[in-house]
Parts: sequence; C-alpha cells; structure tokens
Amino acid sequence: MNKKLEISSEKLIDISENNETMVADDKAIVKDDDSNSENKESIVKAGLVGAAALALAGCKDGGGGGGGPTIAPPGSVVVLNMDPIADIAVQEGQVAMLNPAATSSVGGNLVFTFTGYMTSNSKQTQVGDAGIQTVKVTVTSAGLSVSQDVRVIVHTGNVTTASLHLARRTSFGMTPNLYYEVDVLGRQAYLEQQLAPASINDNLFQRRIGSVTVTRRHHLKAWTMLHMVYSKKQLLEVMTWFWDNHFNTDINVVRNNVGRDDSVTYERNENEAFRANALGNFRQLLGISAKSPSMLLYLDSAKNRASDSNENYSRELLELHTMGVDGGYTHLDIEAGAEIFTGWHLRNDQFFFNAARHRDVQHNYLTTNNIPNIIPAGGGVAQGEQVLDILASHPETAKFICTKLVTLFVSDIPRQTQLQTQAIRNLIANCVTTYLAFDNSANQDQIAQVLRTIFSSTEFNAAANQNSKVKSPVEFAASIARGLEGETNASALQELVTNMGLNLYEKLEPTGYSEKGVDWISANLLMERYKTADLMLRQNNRSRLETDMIGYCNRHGVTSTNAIVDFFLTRLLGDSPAAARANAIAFLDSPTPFNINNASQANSRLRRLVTLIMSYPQFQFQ
Amino acid sequence: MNRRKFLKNVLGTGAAAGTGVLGNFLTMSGAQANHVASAGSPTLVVIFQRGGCDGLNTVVPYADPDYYTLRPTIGIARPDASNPLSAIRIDSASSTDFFGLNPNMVSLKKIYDANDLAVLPTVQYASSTHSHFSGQDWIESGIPTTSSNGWLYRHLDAQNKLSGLQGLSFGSNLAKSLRGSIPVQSIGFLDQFGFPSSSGNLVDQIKQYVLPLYNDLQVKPAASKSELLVGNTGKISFDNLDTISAINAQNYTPAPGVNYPAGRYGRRLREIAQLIKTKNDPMLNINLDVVTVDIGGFDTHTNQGGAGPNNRHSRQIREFSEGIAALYDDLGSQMDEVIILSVTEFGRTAKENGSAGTDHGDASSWFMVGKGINGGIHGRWPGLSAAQLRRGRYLSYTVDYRDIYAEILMNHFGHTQAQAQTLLSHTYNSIGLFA
Repeated sequence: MNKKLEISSEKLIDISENNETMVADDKAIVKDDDSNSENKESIVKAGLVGAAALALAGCKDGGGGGGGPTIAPPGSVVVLNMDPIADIAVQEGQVAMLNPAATSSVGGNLVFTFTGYMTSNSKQTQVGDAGIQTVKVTVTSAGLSVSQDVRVIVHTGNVTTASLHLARRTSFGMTPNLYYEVDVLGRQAYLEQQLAPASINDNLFQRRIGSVTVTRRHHLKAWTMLHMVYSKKQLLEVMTWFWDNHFNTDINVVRNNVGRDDSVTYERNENEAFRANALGNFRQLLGISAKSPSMLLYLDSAKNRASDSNENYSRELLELHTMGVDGGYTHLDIEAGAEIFTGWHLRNDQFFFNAARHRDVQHNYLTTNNIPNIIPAGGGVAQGEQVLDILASHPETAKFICTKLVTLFVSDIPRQTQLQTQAIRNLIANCVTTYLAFDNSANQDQIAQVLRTIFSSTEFNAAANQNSKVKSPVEFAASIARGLEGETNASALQELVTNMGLNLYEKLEPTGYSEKGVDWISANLLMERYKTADLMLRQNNRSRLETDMIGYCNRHGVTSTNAIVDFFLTRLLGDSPAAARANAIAFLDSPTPFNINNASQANSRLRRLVTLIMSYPQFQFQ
Repeated sequence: MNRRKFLKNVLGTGAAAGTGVLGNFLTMSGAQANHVASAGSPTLVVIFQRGGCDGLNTVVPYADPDYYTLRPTIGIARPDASNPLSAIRIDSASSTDFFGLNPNMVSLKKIYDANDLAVLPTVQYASSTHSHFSGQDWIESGIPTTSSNGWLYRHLDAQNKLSGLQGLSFGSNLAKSLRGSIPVQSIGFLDQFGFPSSSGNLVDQIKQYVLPLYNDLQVKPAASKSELLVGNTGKISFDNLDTISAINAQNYTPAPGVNYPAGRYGRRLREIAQLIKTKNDPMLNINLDVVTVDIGGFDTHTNQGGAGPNNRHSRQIREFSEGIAALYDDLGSQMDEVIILSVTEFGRTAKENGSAGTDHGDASSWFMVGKGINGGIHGRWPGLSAAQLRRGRYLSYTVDYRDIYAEILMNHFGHTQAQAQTLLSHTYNSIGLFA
C-alpha cells in the first residue's frame, strides 16, 4: 500500500536540513553610508564564516518531472526523503551511473528502483542513444515510496561552436552539462525551453533559494547571485538582471527616502516582479517599474506634487527607460510628463495615486508617427497610464530596447549608428518589427518574440560575434562558479563582484550598469579579475568555491596533464587554443610531472591551474 | 619660481615658437634648466562632481534680484556676519559684492583670498541635452559629441606621456577622460592595488603563463576592438605594480594639521598628494601628469535644502571643498606645479522644484586652484530673469568649458594654441585664468 504524498512549497523548505543551507553570511561587513564599492578589506578581514557545506554536483540536483522529493502533508511526520539527483552527462558507449540517496525515519531497507532509460543504477549506453533520456528513480521503504525523474544527457562527444555560443550567451556561463545539453537537445529546442521557463524543472534551485533568508542588503545581493549561478532558467535570469539594471534603482536612495528601512523588501519585490515578466510584455515591465516603491522613491515620483513638479522620473523615463537620449523628445515632453506623474505616490508600501496632489490638466505628449498625442484633462491616474502606453508602443522605444538587447546578446560595438555594421542595423530593424508586431498587452510574449528574432538571426551566429563580448563582473563571477559546479558562499561572491566594479543594487546613476565590454576592462578591473579567480579557488578562504578538484577531474574522467588541460580549456573557454594549451600544460607539469594520485600536489596545482585559466584573456570573453 | 610664470616667460621670449615648450626645456642653458628642475613637472588634478552640481547654490549670486524669487526655500541668504548659514562674502574686481560662496565651502575662503582660486559660475556648452550620460561624456571627451577617447588622453598622447603612471584614474574603472587606444592606469586605492601576500607566487605565475596570451591578442591578425582592448590592458596590468607597491611601502603622513575628509574622495585625494610628493623620489621615477578623481551625490532633485549643514547639497559641497583645501595645504609649495580643476556635467534649474530640489539645467560653477593663477570670478553673469534664462528656466553659459581646458593645456602643459585647438576641436576664446 504505497502512499503517494503531496508536496507543498513550504514543506519543501523544511526538509532541506540535510542539504547545505545557503543562508547568506550574517557576519559579513555591512557597508556603511560612505563605505564604498571597492571595499576590499571586508574580504580579507572577514575570515572564514558562514561556510557552505560541501555538496558535489553530480550527486544532488532537482528532481525530475515526476515531482520533487515527496513528503508528508502538514502535521504529519516526514518518514521518507530522497535527495535530489542531478542531471548527468555521458558519452554514448560509456556507462551511465546514478547514485541516489534517501533517508527514512522509520528505518528499514531502502530499495531503489529505476524505470525508463535505465533499469538499474548503471547502464552501458549504446551508440545511437544520444539524446536527453529520462529515468524515474523510486525509493521504497516500509510501504512508502518516493520518486523523481532524472535527466541523462547522452552525447556523442562532439559539440558545435554554434551550440556553445548559444549556451554562453543565454546563460551566466557554461557548465559541464550545458556544454553538451544544447547540442543534444538541438539549439532550437533548447531556446524554446529557455523561452518557456515554466516548463523547466528547477526543483533543486527552488529548494536552495527557499532556504535563503533575505533581510539585509548583502543577503539580497547573495540571493540575486544564487539565481544567476544555480537556476536552470538561465535566459530568464539573464533577462531579469537586464530589466533590473535597465530600470535601475539604488538601494541607498530608496533607503534614505523611507522612514523605516524597507529598501531590501522593495528591491527584492521589484526583482521578483521583473522575473515574473522578464520575457513578457514591455508595457507591463514599464508599469511594474513606474509603480514600484523602489522607483517611486529613487526617481522622486513619491515627492512629485501638483504645486510644482519634479522632473526626475519624467526625464529618465524618456531618456533611459523608453526612447533613449536621441529619441526625439523635447524638454516640453519632460515638463508635461513631470506634471502628468504628479500624485504617483507611495502609501502602505504600495503605489498610491494621490489625486489631491495630481495636476489634472490637458497636455500634449510626444508625437507618434507625427501625430500629436493629447492627454485629456480629468484623467487622473489614467493620464500617466496613457503616457506609459504611448511610450511602450513608440517606434523609438522599440528601437532603443531592441538596440540594447542586440548589444547584450549579439555585439557590444558602440551604439552609435555609424559604427554599427549594416548587418547589426538590419537585425535591430527586424527586432523592431517584431517588437511592434507583438506590441499589445494581450501579447504576453513580446520580449520572447524579440529574443527569438535575435537568436535565430544569421548575425547572432556570425563568427565575429562569437567569443567577442567581454563578460560583465556578474557574468565573470557566475561563470567561475558554474564552470566548476561548485558550492559558493554567495555573500562573499557578491563582494568580489563589487570589487570588479559592479555593486548590485547600488548603482547611484539612473543609467544602470553598462552592457559594453569597454566599460568593464581596465588595468584595475583586470587585476580584480585575477584576484577573484585566485580567491575563489583558494582553500580555507571565505570567498572560496567549494569544489573537490581531484574528485571533479576523476568524475569527468580526466586524470593526465593533457586530458585535464583540454577538459578545462574546452569547458571554460570553448576550445583549446595552442598557446593557451601549451602554457597550461607547462604550468601543470612544473616543476615535476603532474600526478593526480599525489593528493597534496594535485589539489593545489589544479586550483592554481584554474585560477590561471580564468585569468586568461579568452576567459574574459563570452 | 612658479612654473607657470616661468612658462609664460619662455613663451613671451618666443623661444617656444613652433616646436613646443617642452622641447625647448631640454635645450636650455644650465641656469634656466635649474629653474625648471626646481619648479618640477606639471600635474593636473581633475575632480568630477558627478550628478550635476547646482552652481547657483554653490556660487551664490545673492545680488541678482531674481535669485530669491526663484528659490524661496533653498536660496542661500546674502552675506550676513550674524548668520552662519549666509553666503561667504568674496570680493572680486569684476563683480564686487555680487557673488558669495556657499557657507559649507568656508575651507576654500583662504585659497580665494590668496588669489589661488578661480571661480567660474557659468560654465557649460551649447545644446545641452540635460542628460547625465551625454553630459559626462562630453565633459570627459572634451568634444560635445560622443567620442571614443578623452581630452586628457589626447593631451598625454600628444606629449608622449602614455607610459607608466603619468596618467592615472582613481576609481574602479578608467575615467572616460583618460580612455583611448592605449590603456591608462586606473586604481581603486593605492593601498589595495596588488595581491594579498597569501596569493604567494601568483604574480610570477601570471607573468609567466598568462600575460604572454594577452600579448598574443595584441598582435592577433584582424583582432576585434574588444580583443585589442583586453590585450592592451592585460599587457599593462602589471606595469605599475612594482612602483605602486613601493609607494605603498612608504607610510604616508600628510603635512601637519591637514585632515582629508572621510570617505573615498578624501582618501583618494590623500593618495594623490602622496603620489605628487613622490615625484621627487629618484628611486620611484614617477611623473604624475594627469590624475582624475570623482565625488558623487550632486543630483539633488529633492531635499537639496539650503545652506543647513545636514542638507544633501551642503554635505557634498563641504566634502568637496574640504578635500581641495586639504590637498592644497598638504602639497604646500609643491602646489606651484599643480592645478586642481573641478568639473560637473551640468547645473540645475534656476527655480527650485516642488520637492525642495532642483532639476537638470545648463550652466554650473567650475573651480580652478593653482598658485599664481588669476584668482577671482571669471565669466559674464547672464542674469536670472525669465527673459535671460534659456527657455525661461536654465542659467545660460558664458564660459565654454573647452576654453578652460585650452588655457590649462597651453599655460600648464605648454601646448601651443594651435595644438590645444586641435586637441579640443575648438576655436579658443580667452578667459584669462592664468597670470
């Protein structure tokens, strides 16, 4: 009499005590008002605190489509729990192995059964098996049973550069599984999966993030980094960060504007709202931003009153959120907008239209295709909504947003039109066409459609656009953690990102952070990248990434100098260029030949090897 | 002897005609060369007030009848010895009893009285978009259009000063004014540049196994702009490591009585003083020529406040001024070879808005500090009446920012007028900042 028990999201958190708990580190130095984005002392002095427990990828991951670990309903006692099992990648012809683990509070034998692609915990794969295969793993104990689905990525050992390119640009960095997954699944299918994130099983990440406490600023930053590193909905995360940065708010300003400090809650809620709509409709994103407590405070809408308006939001709405500085608006539009948004205030932590403070007169606002838009008097809050409608549908907004997306995903050649190639201009024009074709609030996939246009374009795959974008600091740090499948102290990780020039949620200027590589490379910032790669690969360091390097190499079947170097270079750089390879081999075999069985030598050399590879110029690119 | 007066004398004799002043230094007689050596090489410190500093509450035009009408809440009172929040009285030949300094700038008063502070209340450029982004770009490129390199970079390039620590940008990234095809050094803080000792021999390993790959990128056929940037930057990333480590090893103590303001800006100015003083150390061989540093927080749309010490603008302008005063005092006689210039992307609306703040405007106040310059107020006052304000709202500019740059390039760095005009794509009009 098997019982199939229901799962609740709250309980999912409760059962995670066996897993590492990624509560961001409370002892980290919290920056004071004047402390700065380059406060390096905090790294050095904070020491080892709040270390994450060791968990090797390959042992734990989200459950399969059959649901996550099954647990007891509220009020009853949990009696049987299976650890999440990670996807595995295996080359066809080799043996696939699963090592599930479970705990039972009533004792008794734990019996694992396998159905689907595998019928036991190991399988000799065959040539021709290549594909994403599914295994249902069930554990039975004392009459109870729990199941989860596991994905087995069976590959041929070959990957195309186009697949690697798509994987890199749609994510925060390559992982050993992702290296094969896109090719096995097919680029089209992978893209469609990423564009439909609800279809992606992200149970392990949900379990991880559910246990994170977010009450303080550095928690929020760590929480954000965890999304970037560990969620399988990578394109969704890339776009969430894009919108959060596009509609930049500075938590310091948000904090200074409220009597009690709700800034962390405001920023988190705003980030979640962008995530929920990141692939959706731009008008909705614009509305989320316009009415978010963070933005109401940051650009002073909350203080914009009828008596004498404040232009801050009105100007940046046009310049930075919609049309762009060369979008063709005039100072008259800024002044009209300032009056239209009077009374867009904040009350009880929510947007509140303060009619008493709204100046409700008729305005002209922009022209759309040379036709003036009239904002009639008496509209109240509808005046502002109408302005957001006009802006979201404006061809100049389409051009501005599409240009930014092409800059993010295809090429960061400066935006000035004369410097863009004709092919990039054509791609932007195609994106504008898509944007405007789906520009209706009924179209909940407007941005997804634009992304489809980008990723299916010839220009996206042009050789000149591959490995040509300098990683931003978040991309650099996340790609290290992802590449090594490590457990990270995310609180320390976000501090390293800050050192590299990107302080999450603390960009004072409303422009947000740059999408262009030229803004992320300098002698100082490059040195910070070397230091980040060093600190993350250290042992016994707070910033370290928990990866058992010897185990990692053994798990991936690489033990000789050449095999190890080729493995890291291909996984981390995409290929193994001759000079890079020669230098890495020279290092690993110096001063004595590398021997993976000599644990103390092998561990420190592997760590330093990876630090050096991550300092390579090729690793600065995506 | 003050090096600028010396330069002026050289120029006056016509010795510099055609070939540039610096070339002539090398061929001068021993007696003259001693003067040059004692005067030291020039250094320019550029302070960027990010966010658009409200010039009208920095250099207060209290005698303009429209000022208090436009700013009933945030206007700063006319000079009044009994009111500590009133403007600081300053006299100048051009406009006696018209302007006062914000009382939070009291630290600059003695520099003004020494005639070492030039005050320019009406600086900007034509066709401002009122955008932070464009405005900062234009100020830093020295060209009112987006440009891929900065005006300070072009100056360094023209005088073959792109190596070592002759150009330096304080901040996490490289200031746009110093960007160009050859990377200029940037640092966050002197004492944080480099690796912790726990990194062991990582530096040597990177030099051996990593930097050659950056060099390869520099010479890669058909390298992209990004590849060149990364390659060039990687190549220089360790060039100044030993020098900066050597400087760090020297514990720096500012001159007696000098206190830099707390925070990044003050800390960086203190390190700038250290670097400038180190110029005389033959072991280090530093010739700091141009250095940039930022101070933010001037985008005062709300709660800008008047002169009260805890108001947003007050706090920023006090930190700004105290930093300059500390640097000036700390450098002492070495100020002879130093010019400090402050810039900001725009001023703010003449009329205060409904939230006790101001929105983006046109002209703002810039300052230049130096020994032996023409201190005092520079520039014609355009007036604050509705008819005088651009579009009825914005203080007009009467000094083009590139004329300030041009006078520094000519008088401090010895470029000819023709060179300065070329570097700035601008026809020079005299302001008369230098004596």
